[in-house]
Amino acid sequence: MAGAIVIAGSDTPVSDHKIRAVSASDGWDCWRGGVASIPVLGCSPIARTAESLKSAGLTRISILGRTIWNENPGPVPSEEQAWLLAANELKTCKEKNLDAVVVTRIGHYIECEWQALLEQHRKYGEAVSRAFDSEAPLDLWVVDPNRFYADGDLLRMLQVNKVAECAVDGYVNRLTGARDFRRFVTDIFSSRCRVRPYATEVRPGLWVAEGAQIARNARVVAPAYVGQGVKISGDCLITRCSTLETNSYVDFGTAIEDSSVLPDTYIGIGLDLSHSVVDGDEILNLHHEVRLRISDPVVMRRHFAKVQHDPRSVSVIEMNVMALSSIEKP
Amino acid sequence: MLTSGPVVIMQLPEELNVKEVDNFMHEIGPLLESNRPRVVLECSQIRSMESAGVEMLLRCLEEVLKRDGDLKLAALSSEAEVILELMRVARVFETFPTSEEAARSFNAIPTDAIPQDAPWYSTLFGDLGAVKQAS
Repeated sequence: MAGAIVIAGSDTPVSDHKIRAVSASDGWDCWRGGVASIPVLGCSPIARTAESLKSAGLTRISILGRTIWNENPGPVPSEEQAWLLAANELKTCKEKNLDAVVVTRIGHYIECEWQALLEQHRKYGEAVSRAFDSEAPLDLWVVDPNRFYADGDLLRMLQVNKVAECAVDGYVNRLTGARDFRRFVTDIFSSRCRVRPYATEVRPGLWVAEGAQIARNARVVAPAYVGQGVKISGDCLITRCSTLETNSYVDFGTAIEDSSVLPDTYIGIGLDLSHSVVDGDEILNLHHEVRLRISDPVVMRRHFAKVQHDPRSVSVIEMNVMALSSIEKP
Repeated sequence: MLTSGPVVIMQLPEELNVKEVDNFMHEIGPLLESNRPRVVLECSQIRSMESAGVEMLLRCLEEVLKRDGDLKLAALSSEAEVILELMRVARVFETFPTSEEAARSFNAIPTDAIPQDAPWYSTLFGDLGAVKQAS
């Protein structure tokens, strides 16, 4: 029997949507860990990872840290706290007689045959195995809780411990910033990974979720994603792998090209948004490599949610909301 | 009648909000009312610009064009470029990497040498008589 510990904690306060709250010295394209919680085509990378672990048959999955946007988030551990909690969770896994535990720190998105990874780990016979892709080691370990004892700083112990190397040949995106985020979006549209949008494909490459309102004279040109509760006014143009996440609102005559609009964002009238990621009043422009805040609320602002998240992702979301607790399969 | 003043280079402030726009308009007002104003706005300091700032740029351009002058933007910061593109006005302005280049561009066609009563095409085609003779 195997389990998983997913570390979603971050030093960045993710309470209001992730791409802010980084200091200027971090650079324009730095999200510091919160990126895995941002919805991408309806569902965050962390929720997708949890879902894939669950469907691979792992019996106990613990997610440490806040993982989705939520009006009542509750306490969010820092990354340091999350690793301390993970050490305790590993002890619990030992008590539950699990022979292998996947420990992963979500800042990246990895597509992996989990059972094959566990098999590799068992075959090598080390207490800890670390996954590698073609470029570098990943923040993904498989630990035998009966042979590995962590009394505190689990991350440090995983890093210094002798490890077996397991190769991961599936899709990997390190999600280190806006460029990786946009690459993830285009990879989904072009089926370079297994991720599918949480929506219905109404035309080839055009995904529209429930509750989206698109004006008759607006044009949405594939590939594009329109999330749940999104409103697109007349004369708008949405195209070139653009994504409008839950509850965002694009006002009259605006064109959006090669951009991601994060949840609950209002985009004003007659704008031309391209090569950007927008979250409320903040823009990360990939073309000019600049991050800026729009102080004018008629141009861009936070647009507060009225619609709930997609019910199809409820099982994963319920898991995530538990944040500091664990779930077990019956 | 020969008319043209010097090229005036002005630096825009770091933040172009309503207050700064008022201050700047107060400063640039007399220049805009002069005959054939030639203005370069240096934008390297701009870090944020509200829609009032974009509106101000358009108003300045409109005023100088009314008086047969021109307004050019120079050394745009990335922030200014993003905002102008976002607001769909980037193509309305002629832009240059530096103020010097923008200032020099006014003399690409020496306006000093063009009498006001010369036909409009004289700057474009030069001496049409010479062309006719050659053909």
